[in-house]
Amino acid sequence: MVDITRRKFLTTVSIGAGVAATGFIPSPFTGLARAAGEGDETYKVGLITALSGSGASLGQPMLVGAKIAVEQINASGGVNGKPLELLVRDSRAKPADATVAARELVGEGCNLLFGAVSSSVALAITGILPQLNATLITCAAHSMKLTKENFNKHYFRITDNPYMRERAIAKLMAEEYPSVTKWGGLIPDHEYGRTTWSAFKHGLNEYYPQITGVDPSVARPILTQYGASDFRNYIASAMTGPSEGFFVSVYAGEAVTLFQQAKAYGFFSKAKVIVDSANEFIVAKAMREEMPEMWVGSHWYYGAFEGNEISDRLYERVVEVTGDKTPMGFVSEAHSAVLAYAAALEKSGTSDTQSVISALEGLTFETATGPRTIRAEDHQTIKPVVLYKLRGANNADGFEVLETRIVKGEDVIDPPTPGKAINL
Amino acid sequence: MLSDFGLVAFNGLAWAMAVFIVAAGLTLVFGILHVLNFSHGGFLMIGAYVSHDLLSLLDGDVSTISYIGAALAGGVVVGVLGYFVDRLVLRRLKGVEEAYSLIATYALLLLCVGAVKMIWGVNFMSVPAPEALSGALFYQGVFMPTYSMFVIGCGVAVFLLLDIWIRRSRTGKLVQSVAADPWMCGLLGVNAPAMYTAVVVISFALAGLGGGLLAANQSLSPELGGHYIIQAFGVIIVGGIGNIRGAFLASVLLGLVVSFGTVYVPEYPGIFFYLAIVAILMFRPEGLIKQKGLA
Repeated sequence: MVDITRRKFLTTVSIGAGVAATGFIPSPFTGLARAAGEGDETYKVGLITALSGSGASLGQPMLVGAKIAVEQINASGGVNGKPLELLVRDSRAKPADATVAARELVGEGCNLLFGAVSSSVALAITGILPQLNATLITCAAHSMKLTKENFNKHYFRITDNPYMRERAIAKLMAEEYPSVTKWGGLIPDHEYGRTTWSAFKHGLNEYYPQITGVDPSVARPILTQYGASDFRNYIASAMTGPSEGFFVSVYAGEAVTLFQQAKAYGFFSKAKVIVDSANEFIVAKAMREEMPEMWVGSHWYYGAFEGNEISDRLYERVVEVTGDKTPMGFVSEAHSAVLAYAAALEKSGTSDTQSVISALEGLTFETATGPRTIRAEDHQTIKPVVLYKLRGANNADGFEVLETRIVKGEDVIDPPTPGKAINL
Repeated sequence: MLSDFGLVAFNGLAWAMAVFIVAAGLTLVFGILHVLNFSHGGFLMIGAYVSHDLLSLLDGDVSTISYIGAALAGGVVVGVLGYFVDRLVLRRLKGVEEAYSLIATYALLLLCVGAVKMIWGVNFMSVPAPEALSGALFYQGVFMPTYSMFVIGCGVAVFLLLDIWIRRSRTGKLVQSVAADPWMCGLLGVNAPAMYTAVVVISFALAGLGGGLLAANQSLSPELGGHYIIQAFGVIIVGGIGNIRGAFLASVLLGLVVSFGTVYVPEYPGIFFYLAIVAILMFRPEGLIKQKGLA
């Protein structure tokens, strides 16, 4: 039997009411009281990204890009005469933390969310968006499910997707390396790894016959354990296989470890070409002179968009704020998400969720990579795919960009099929 | 076929010795203080970063001697940190329930991660292996990277040094006595608190040394502390908690299981480590080598 005294009861109820009043636990009353409305003095936009943990090297640049965007927009007078207010939450790249963060932000009257480094975080937040009556623009998460079987109208993707990026890479490989027809992959054993490989293989099978007249020979990919610190057996498997070209979608620190350990096996002598799906400058900055030559996918490369005023101003400010002269593309994606919200708020005149959704659908707006259009059917943005060839170098940066390719997004984008899984 | 097995076994041993280097200090602290030091990986990480900074000063080709020297320096730095951690934290955990020890040492790990972020940032770094260890040998059809051989050699050396120290040296036998019966040792004039501190410092120094030796094995990031710790805990539990020989045997066994599993059942990467632990503990819940105290 539970012994409840009057004092305990009153104490418990008082604490509960006090906590609910702070908005820490969302309640119907606090939710209504804090819902975004025209009475607010600012338009709130909420960044949920990995500022700590394994995704921090991607999340921190997003924060920089978001802050710069808000600063630039407010310096030009804000939106509809109101300034933007940036709220930030650390998701730690964990779905549970991310959903709590989303609820917290909505509880504070912020219904315009963006960020999400990992696909699992994006999928978790997207699932509760209708319930929260909020929107989410993802700035990195690459799961195809977000615009396919898990799509809902509250979700938007500001970046390219794996179908676009990996097929653009496959097309480039057919054009530049027509004699490399035997391909293999080293992919992490999770959603992102499998999706990127499927899209790349799909691209190889389409573009090699089309461009070279030869069917590629695509080996079964080598699945690496997520979070592994030893890739030796995976590398040994790659060395004993017939593949000459390798697609790698292992990312961040694991990619650095993989390439470090691969060197001793002579992997870079065997591989005629290596393609890194999405690591931007992460591996290059870590390995510096030891970085092998490879093609890498990116969201934005400042060097490829010189003359684009938004890109130039963004780059200058990033260097000023961070001192980093080789910023990564995640800066631009968060920057673009804020620009998207600003354009939608200007168009709709309100931050009401349904109005913002309507304003975002079909919206074309200028960004650091040129104009982007958000497709109305599945909320996938049509933007260019950015690829560059990197190599380690004995210079201050430790690496150099040898070549850049910009592939038009509309040339490689998937047909919109919201609600249906893509069949690759 | 034989060369394939040989390569897989060799890679398994490399993994095993890397994990043993991490587990050695961990099992030492648990054997004496009965504290599961969750922050062990964090201090290994600090050792790796210290080595990285020292090697960066050389600004060029790193020799094997300087690589080992940097690792030793990392060990010294972390050993000193261990002294303060013992005085400020671990001493206060004596006699405290294990759950609280875990929480306290986990908090220490978070401090390590925060400190690394503040000092070195969140970006990934790497330490290239010395030129002399960057190549490979080819023997009987088995391809053996030199750096992997170095890691195996270091693991065996750490084991032999620890085992000889614990079993054959006077101080090692004193440490075993203090682990078995600190009260009686105190009555016999052994300064048990000083022994505890010495063991903690040695354990932390091993962590720092391990970080330095393994710096070229993987990327450096504030997450490095967590990379090996689960495997290290698995090894010391399977080996018999507080048992150096058990930890060595367990790391070899688990390393081979993981390696063969990765290659011959590639559809399920990473699962064999946990399956092996469950299987072993079902038949030997006390661990592979059942022995009281530290040995």
